[in-house]
Parts: sequence; structure tokens; C-alpha cells
Amino acid sequence: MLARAADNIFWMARTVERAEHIARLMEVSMRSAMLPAQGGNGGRLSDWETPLYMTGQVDDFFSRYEKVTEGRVLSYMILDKHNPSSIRSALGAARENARAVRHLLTSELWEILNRTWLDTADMTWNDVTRIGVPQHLEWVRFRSHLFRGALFGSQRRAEGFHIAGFGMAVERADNTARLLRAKWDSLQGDATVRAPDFYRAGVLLETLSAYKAYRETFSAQLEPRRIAELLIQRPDVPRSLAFCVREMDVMLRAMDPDSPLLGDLGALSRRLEGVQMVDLVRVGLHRFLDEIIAEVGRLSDRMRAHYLMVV
Amino acid sequence: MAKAKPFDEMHGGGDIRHPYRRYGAWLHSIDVEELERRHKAADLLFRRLGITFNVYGSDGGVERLIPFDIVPRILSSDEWSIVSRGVIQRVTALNAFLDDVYNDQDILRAGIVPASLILTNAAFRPEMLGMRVPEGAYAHVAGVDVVRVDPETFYVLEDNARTPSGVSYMLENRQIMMRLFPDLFAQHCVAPVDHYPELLLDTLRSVAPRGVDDPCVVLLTPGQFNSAYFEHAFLAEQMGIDLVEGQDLFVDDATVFMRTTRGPKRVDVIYRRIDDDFIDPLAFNPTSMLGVPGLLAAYRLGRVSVCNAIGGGVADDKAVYTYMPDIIRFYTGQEPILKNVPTWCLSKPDDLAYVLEHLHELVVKEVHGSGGYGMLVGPAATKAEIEDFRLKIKANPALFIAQPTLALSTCPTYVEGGIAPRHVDLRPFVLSGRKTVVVPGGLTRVAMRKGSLVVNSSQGGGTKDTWVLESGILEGGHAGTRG
Repeated sequence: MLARAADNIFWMARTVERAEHIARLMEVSMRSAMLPAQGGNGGRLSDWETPLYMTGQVDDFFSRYEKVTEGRVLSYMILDKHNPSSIRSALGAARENARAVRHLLTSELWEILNRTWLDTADMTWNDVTRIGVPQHLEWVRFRSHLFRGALFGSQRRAEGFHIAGFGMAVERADNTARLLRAKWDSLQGDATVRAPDFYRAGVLLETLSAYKAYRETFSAQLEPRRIAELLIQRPDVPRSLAFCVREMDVMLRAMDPDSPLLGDLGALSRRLEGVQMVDLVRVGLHRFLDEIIAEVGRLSDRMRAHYLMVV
Repeated sequence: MAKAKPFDEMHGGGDIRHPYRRYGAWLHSIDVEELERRHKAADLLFRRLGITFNVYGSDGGVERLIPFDIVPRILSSDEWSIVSRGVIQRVTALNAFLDDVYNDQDILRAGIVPASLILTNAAFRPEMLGMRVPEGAYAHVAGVDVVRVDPETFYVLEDNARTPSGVSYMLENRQIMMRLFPDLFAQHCVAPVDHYPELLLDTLRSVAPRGVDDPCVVLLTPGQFNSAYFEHAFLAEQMGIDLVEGQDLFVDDATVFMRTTRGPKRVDVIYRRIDDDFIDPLAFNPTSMLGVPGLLAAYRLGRVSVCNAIGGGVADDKAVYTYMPDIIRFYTGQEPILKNVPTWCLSKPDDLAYVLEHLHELVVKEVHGSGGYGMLVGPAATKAEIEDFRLKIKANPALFIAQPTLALSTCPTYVEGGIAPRHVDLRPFVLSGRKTVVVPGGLTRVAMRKGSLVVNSSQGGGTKDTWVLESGILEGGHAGTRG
């Protein structure tokens, strides 16, 4: 396959996944904001500052707005044309990348992305509030599900499919790691009481479609340590890091059984398996997740250098 | 000439004309609301499928839909026979002409076409001299624009021998019509066009460099901001070939390669949708970012085939156009089947004087223009527009040609609130490789504004599905009902 076309497919898949992630991030923020404020706040970021830091848009946001409010962050992250991390920008990028390779996609796949974009492109904040913000976010999530369904249900199992699958897994691993990292402290609950914040934990799991998985796996109360285990180590939970890394391995192996990247992937996978949650929780999860995020980024770069950007 | 009531292809002569008989009955049986419903359904389909073109200039490139008209343009097999034989004859002569001017130059020596007109032409490429291209094919894909003025008379307006576009609309229009009006296709025996991509691929493969059995064919596009990008992607998909940009190709050791996920892969045939000027920065426009450095050298060595051939533009030049009847006679020994529109070359003083006096009744075009840009339609222009144009002509007469305003035929067309006649033309797509062939039909373009003669999509023109009825029982209906 043409290297440039492969790169388009890679980014098409990543940006759809990203749009879904931003929708989930907004959902978790909205629902967390509805919970009573935590005592003292302890210098932590508010529920509405977190998304800006997570997507690296905090400077851009403050260059245009003075204060963080729920409405501003929502419209900025959902619709803003100038915010490269907004849902609208992600869906636009997905559609543009798809348009460049539409001849390589099944018509279903192309039509889903094209229609999603056409439905979003001219949307105003009034339109979104009329539909309802939660309803709109749910729609974005469902469009992403539909995209994935069409990808798995109609696209030939050839290089293009495997590159899309790899891109999706890379993006999701990055997103899950960042979300867990950003929300970790808030799960610890009130520092004085040292009791976990069940509600925030529940919201986090639900937005990652992992609440049921938690109950089925542990049938126990929500505990930060177990949440971390679920989202880092459980290969059967579709948004966990272990799942994403396994998916990257499956896709890469199918595409190129002799890929030089398989070694790095194996190392990452062993790293996730081998870590002891008790130790992690004690010394703090942040550093570990930072390293994982960096490693996933390196893998993505190596993939692109090796297969996608021959220039 | 323009004042006479134009020939209507459905109603011309009073009764409904033969090819439209069944369709006409159906059209009368259906109410306007139903037509409007189907018109909207067609629009929605085009938008959903992303069948769009990009408009230059406005806002740096906006995607638009070409207006699609749900009323088909219908030709009988006899009518099509005239058009198809005519365009094949013409393109055969064009290829022979190009082979000649780049090699023996018999036609120049015979004084049929002035040598200066060819050798100093901007589209003439001296780099092509002495090169024998596979199968003697230069204009592998030609879009010959045909208009009609009465039941028997067809004129050729332009021979597009460079990179004609529009064939994807011919194919998609048919798909949409079959989705919207399955009942009509059951009643009519419409000749299929869907095999065009297959014929195109056959044509491209047939001109591969000698010794290459299983050629790697690619489509070279300027990229997704080009106005015809949809078509490029569509054709690549239909043919199952790679859609490449200049940056995806490179030349090494006089061989063209594309960059793939598994390293370089050799390319044998390039169906290019980029103009000559931009195709190789080493040979032509040095600032081109779209082309492939070194491509011309590999081409000249016969290591890769380029379709359409470089330098083919000299054959569809509007000044060369005036010599087409003689060119056809010279190479085929036959009389032209399709007429040439009488044309005044403003480089000739007599022609210039006549045209300047009759601007209000003529169409004036730039010799190198295309897409309906930079032209004057005298009868439709204001006094001021005519005077502006007069100054442009006087500044450099050789840049222009003029033609009488033809009363283009009209076809019934769905417009706001009903059906009305609108002017149409027809662009059949002729393929030349080992053989020269044309699929039955083409792109019918329609001027959506009342009275307008400009059908170009860049000027608000629309398209119609073009039906060529196959001869047989279905076309005329039962013997007893034949009108």
C-alpha cells in the first residue's frame, strides 16, 4: 500500500477514536461536576480545568477566555474550530483523511465518516444545547461505535485494516493512560478521611464503559487500587492499557509478522503485566503512566517512520 | 441564428420524438410533487456519497455538488451511431496527427496545417520529437464536446485531449438514476456504461512499456484540493489501482517507483490528471510541487508510459480546431461525420475585422481557455461587457477565436415547480490504446438557467444521465404501438 495512504488511514482511525475520547472526557467532567465538591480541593485542578490540561490546550483557552466555566469549556472542547483537540476538529480531520483514501475504504465506512462530518460541520452551540449536551456527546460516541462496526464488519483484512486497528489502539492507550492519570488523585477522596471517592470512581469507570467489568471482575467495592488494575492490566477490558497493547500486537503481527516493532511491543506488554499494583499505588501512579504514555508515543513514531513516512 | 427557436430533443417537431415516447408518457403520468420528492432524494444521495467538486477561487476551495437533473437525456441507437462513429473518427485522426507532428511532420510539409501554428504553439513539446509512443496513442482519454442544433446535425465544439474530466458523473448519474427510477429502466433498454473503468484499465494496460506483461498502473492526481479529486479517487477505486501524488513517486535509474509501506515499487503506466506544465519540475515548470522530477527522461526512454501523452495539448488547441476537418481527411481519407463550428481566427486581420463588428451575435473564446472561463457570449452580454471584451481582443487578437452562437438543442429539465427546456451538450469519452472505443453515452451537461448557453459546472451548469437506447423491441415498443 502507498505509504501516504497508509498514513491517512492511520490518522483517520486515530482521530475518530480521539473524538470519542473527548466525548467521554466531557461526559466524565459533566458528571463529576455534579458531585459535591471535595473538601479543601487540595490545590487540585477543577473538573473543568482537567480537560484543558489533558489536551494541552490550556494556554490557548486562556488566551481567549478569562475564566473557566462549564459552558465555555464544553463549547470549546465540542465545537471550537480553532481548537485542534475539539470533537469537531477531530471529526473534520477524520473525514479529510478518509477523503484522501476513500477509494481504499468500503462505501459504508466512507459514508459514515462523511455523514458524521456533515451533521457536525455547521452545528452551533445553540444547536447542541437544543439537542442537549449529554445527548450530543452520546451521539458522538455512537458514531464512533458505528465507524468501528463498519471497519470490522466491512473492510477487507489487509494492510489498511491493520493500520487502522493499530492507530485506534495507540490512540486509545494514550487516552486511557491520560484519563486515569488526570483523575487518579480525585479518586483518593478527602485527604483527611483517606477514604476513596466512590462516586468519582464510579463516574470514571462508567465513562470508560468499564463499570460492569469492574463489578464482574471483582464483585467488590470500588477501590482505586483495583480500578488501576482493571484499567492497566486486564486484557479483557476494551479500554484497558493491556487490551490496547495486545490489539497493537495483533494488528502489527497480521500486517508484518517480522516487524521490528514487535520486540518493543513485547517489552511494553511485559512491563504492564509485571508491575505490582500495591507498589504502584504507594509510590504514585503518575510516573508510571507518564512512562507508559511516552513509550506508546515512541511506538507510534516508530510505526510511522517504518511503514508510513518513507520520505 | 440564435433567434430561431432551438430544437427540443423531446418535443422537437410537435409530437413527442421517438426516443422519448415511453419516457414522455411516464413523465406526463407523474405529478410535480413526486418529481420534487425524487429530485430531493437524488440531492441527498449525492451529498451523502460525497460526490462533490471543488470550486477554485472562492474561499480557497469549497466543496460543491454539481446540480443533477433527474430527467434523462435520451438518444436513439441511430442517433448514437452518428455521434459514436463521429467521435471515434475524430479521435483516430487526433492520434495520427499527434504522432505525425512529433515525428515525420507530413501534414506540415503538405501545407495542410501551417507549421508555425504547431511549432510555436505553447502546448507543443519539442521534448516529444522523435519519440514513438506505444500503439501510437497520445490522447488515451478524449472528451469530445458535441452539441446538436437539429435532428440530423451535430457539431463538435471542442476536442479535449489533455485531461478531460466528468466521466465519474456519467457513471454516478447512472447509479443514482437506477436507484431512483428502477421502473423506468425496466421499461427502457438503456445501454450500460458501467464497464467504462474496465475499458479504461484495459486501455492503460495496452500501452505499457514493451516487455512488461503485468504492468503496475497508477493514477496521478494533483491532490485532494483539486476540483476533480472526487473523480480521481473514484476511478482509482473502480480500477483497483493506487491513487498517487507526485510526492509518492520518484525516479531512480530512469525507472519510476512509488513509495509503499514495504519500500519502493516499480510503476509502469501513469494515468495522469496533472497538466504537462506541472508533471516534471526538471523538464517543465521548475516550481511545480505536484510533479515527479525526472519523469520525462524515464518516459522518453520508454521505461514508463504517461497517459495522456505529454504534448497532446497541441491537438485540442482552439486554433488547431479550425483545421480539424482537413486533419480528418488527411489521415482517414474520409469526410468528417461530425461538423466543425465555423470559426474565426482573430489572428487573421479579415476575421478580426468581421468579429469586432459582430461581437453582439458571436461567442468569443480564449484560444487556451477552458472551463467556460474568459468567454463572451455576445447575445447574452451587456453593452459594457461587450466593450470590455473588445478592448481585450484588440490588445492581443491572436489569443482569441470566435464562433457563431449556436442554437444548442434543449432537453426537458426539472426546475423549480415543473419541467422546462434547458440547453444541453454531450461529452462522450473516447479511449485509445490498442483500440479506439467509446461507451454508449457520455456526460450531458445542462445550463440550469433559462436561456443560458454555458453548461460548464464551474459556471453553474448541471448534469443529466444520458441514455442510449439499444435497438430492439423495447426501444420502439411493440410494432402495433409504434408512432
